[in-house]
Amino acid sequence: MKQADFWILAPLVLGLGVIQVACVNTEPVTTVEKPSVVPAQTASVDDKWLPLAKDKLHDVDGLRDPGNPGFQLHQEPREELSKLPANKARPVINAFGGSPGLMVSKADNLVDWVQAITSGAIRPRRNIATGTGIEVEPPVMDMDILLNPNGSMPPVRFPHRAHTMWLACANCHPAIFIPQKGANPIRMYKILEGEQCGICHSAVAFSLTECSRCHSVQRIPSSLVNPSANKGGGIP
Amino acid sequence: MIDKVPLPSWMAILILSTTLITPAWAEYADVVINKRAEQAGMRPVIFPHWFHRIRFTCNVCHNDEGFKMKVGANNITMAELVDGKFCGMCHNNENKIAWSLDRCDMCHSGLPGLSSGIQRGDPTRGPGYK
Ligand code: HEC
Ligand code: HEC
Ligand code: HEC
Ligand code: HEC
Ligand code: HEC
Ligand code: HEC
Repeated sequence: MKQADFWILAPLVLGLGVIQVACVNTEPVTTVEKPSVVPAQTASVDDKWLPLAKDKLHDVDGLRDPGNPGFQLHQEPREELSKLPANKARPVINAFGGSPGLMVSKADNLVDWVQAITSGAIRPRRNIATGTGIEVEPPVMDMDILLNPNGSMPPVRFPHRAHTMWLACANCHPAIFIPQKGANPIRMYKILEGEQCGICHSAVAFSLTECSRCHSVQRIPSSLVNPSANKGGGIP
Repeated sequence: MIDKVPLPSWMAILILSTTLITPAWAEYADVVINKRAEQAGMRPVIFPHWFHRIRFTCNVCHNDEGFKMKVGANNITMAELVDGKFCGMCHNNENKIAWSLDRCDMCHSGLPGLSSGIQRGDPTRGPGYK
């Protein structure tokens, strides 16, 4: 591409992307154009998963090569994902004050993957045998750990069960987390930089914008735990 | 002729295209792997997490023998795949878990020039990611 072409095309493509993303994400589902292949009865659900681009014009992020013969064989995400338990709208915690609302995360394949397993909708294999070294099924362990941040954020309940349904202990211990309560200084800024919980969350597991899915524990007002703490008449 | 058009033509194209085109994109957590592929004359690889996690839990791929959970941290070559490592654990002719390595196009499906990375995560990552 000539450089001049680039400077004409770049803003165009960028603008296109931004506007389309904006359209899809903010408008009610019904205004999104329906791909002609979608059968009528499932259309409203299916609109949520955008089709994989089958040609260059439609491809917002320009990922797949339409000239590739194998390409047409790839499965459309909506064909399988629309059958799985949908991710729920969850309260958004507004860190800057103001009223919290309900929001469905745009990421996370729009699927609640924990529900997908516990409801039996999917049964992913936990091992593959025959000489691969992955013959053992990792154990599922039910142990919640309460991580209590300083400040005003609700405490975090870390569920081992939801994680060990998907992962082996060795995926986290000891490289990411020392298996001892309180031994890991977990910090939100590190998580947001893609460390600690952020290695998986916002990459493959549900997105970090779903604050309340981690910060899920109601802080008990200190006045209830220890009535004498409220003597000053402050806000409980 | 051109000055009779009330809008610059690129704007007209923009408006037209946004109303006519159904957008399409990669699914959340699709991974582009292009550490060696393009240098060796192949299209970049696109790996769909969503498709595989319906069928396998994470530990099946992310373990000592398999993929490190970091794009670019794995030295994947076709020789190793043929050896039964990485994608070759399943995509082979022996244990019949998935179609074999001769279907190059299924994996090498990206446009030239892509850089390795995970797609469509929410942009919550702070500075210094990767
Ligand atoms: C744990 C086993 C396993 C591993 C490891 C694995 N795959 Fe797969 N893959 C599968 C199975 C099973 C299918 C479905 C096969 C079928 O439909 O017959 C599949 C299908 C696919 C598809 C087709 C998806 C579609 O839309 O139809 C692609 C592309 C793919 N794999 C790429 C890869 C790449 C690239 C790697 C390595 C980076 C990889 N796979 C590693 C098991 C695996
Ligand atoms: C993947 C789970 C997860 C998500 C999602 C998440 N957090 Fe956190 N957050 C944590 C953990 C774990 C801690 C540390 C708790 C502790 O101190 O032990 C934390 C701590 C915090 C803290 C305390 C300061 C600090 O750095 O320790 C704040 C403030 C915070 N989070 C805000 C947010 C906001 C706002 C969101 C949504 C945009 C959010 N978090 C989403 C897991 C999460
Ligand atoms: C997704 C990551 C992850 C996985 C997988 C995981 N853990 Fe943990 N584990 C944690 C975190 C986070 C903590 C809390 C550490 C802290 O408080 O600093 C923890 C804490 C622990 C503790 C300390 C509990 C205490 O009260 O001191 C033990 C023991 C433990 N894990 C065992 C296991 C075992 C056994 C498995 C496999 C069945 C496992 N973990 C899988 C993340 C994980
Ligand atoms: C190794 C990857 C990995 C790490 C590290 C990790 N998670 Fe997760 N987490 C997952 C996966 C996979 C799921 C399943 C749900 C999904 O994929 O969206 C999950 C699910 C959860 C759930 C369950 C939500 C529900 O609906 O039941 C919570 C809460 C959670 N993670 C919090 C955390 C916190 C807090 C940390 C850090 C202390 C953490 N996770 C670290 C991979 C990880
Ligand atoms: C199951 C998925 C899969 C299939 C099928 C596949 N590849 Fe690959 N291939 C990969 C991955 C993953 C890489 C690593 C890419 C990187 O790191 O850039 C790779 C890398 C390569 C490379 C560069 C590294 C090296 O070994 O030199 C070449 C060349 C290559 N593939 C050729 C082929 C050819 C030719 C075919 C068909 C006969 C094929 N591949 C089929 C997944 C696949
Ligand atoms: C079929 C194999 C397979 C399965 C199953 C799988 N992954 Fe991956 N994962 C990969 C491959 C391949 C990569 C890319 C590695 C590379 O580029 O070198 C990857 C990369 C990642 C990364 C790194 C992303 C980054 O930005 O660096 C994370 C995090 C991750 N996977 C988490 C998960 C979690 C969580 C699960 C389970 C819900 C999972 N994976 C299931 C094959 C798999």
